[in-house]
Amino acid sequence: MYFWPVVYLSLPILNVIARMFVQPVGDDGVERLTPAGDTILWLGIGTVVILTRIASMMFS
Amino acid sequence: MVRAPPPRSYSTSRAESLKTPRENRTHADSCTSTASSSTLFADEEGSPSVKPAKSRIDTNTSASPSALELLRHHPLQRVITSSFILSILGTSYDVVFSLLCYTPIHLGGLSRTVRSLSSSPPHSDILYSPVRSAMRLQWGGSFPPLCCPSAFRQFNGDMARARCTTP
Repeated sequence: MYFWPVVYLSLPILNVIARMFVQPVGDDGVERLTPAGDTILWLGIGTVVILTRIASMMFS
Repeated sequence: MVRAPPPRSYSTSRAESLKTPRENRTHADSCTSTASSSTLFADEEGSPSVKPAKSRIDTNTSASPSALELLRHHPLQRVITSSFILSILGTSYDVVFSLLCYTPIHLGGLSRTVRSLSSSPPHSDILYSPVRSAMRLQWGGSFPPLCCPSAFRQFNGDMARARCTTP
């Protein structure tokens, strides 16, 4: 139960990480991240997903 | 003067519940049946003649508590409430996370693409499996007391007391 506030509050942190490593918008209008930022963002997404799965263990 | 036999009461056990309907029917016909079983047989067969006489019905309310009594049980209330809240939290998180991933960064999202996110669920399962195994080893195969620790302590205490009193 106590994991859920952490999980929900970690979502804006992911956006802050993405904003730190975003590159200027190209001609296609798609925002791209630097390779380091992409790796860090994926690590953050993986951490959040694992936290979500641990928080979901109380269903079982 | 012939003394009447004492009223017989039957408790619903697991062995009786695993019997087939035919076995239950013969058991009910040969013995005094409870009120719930006689009503069930009448519904299944559709004939009112199966109902036993009123004087033969032995109502044992302590063996089969009603739904209202179950809902009044305090640990069950807490478990149902926490399950309801957890369902809301889990479902809303799934929706919010999906929206966050596909929203552009300047609008507060992560600007991920469908192609890049399609492989994340299997990867999360691969990453999560050692965590789950470690937690199951820690708590002995049962779920960890993350949900409602006080309710689980009370529930485990009740179960331990029931094991001690059961012959």
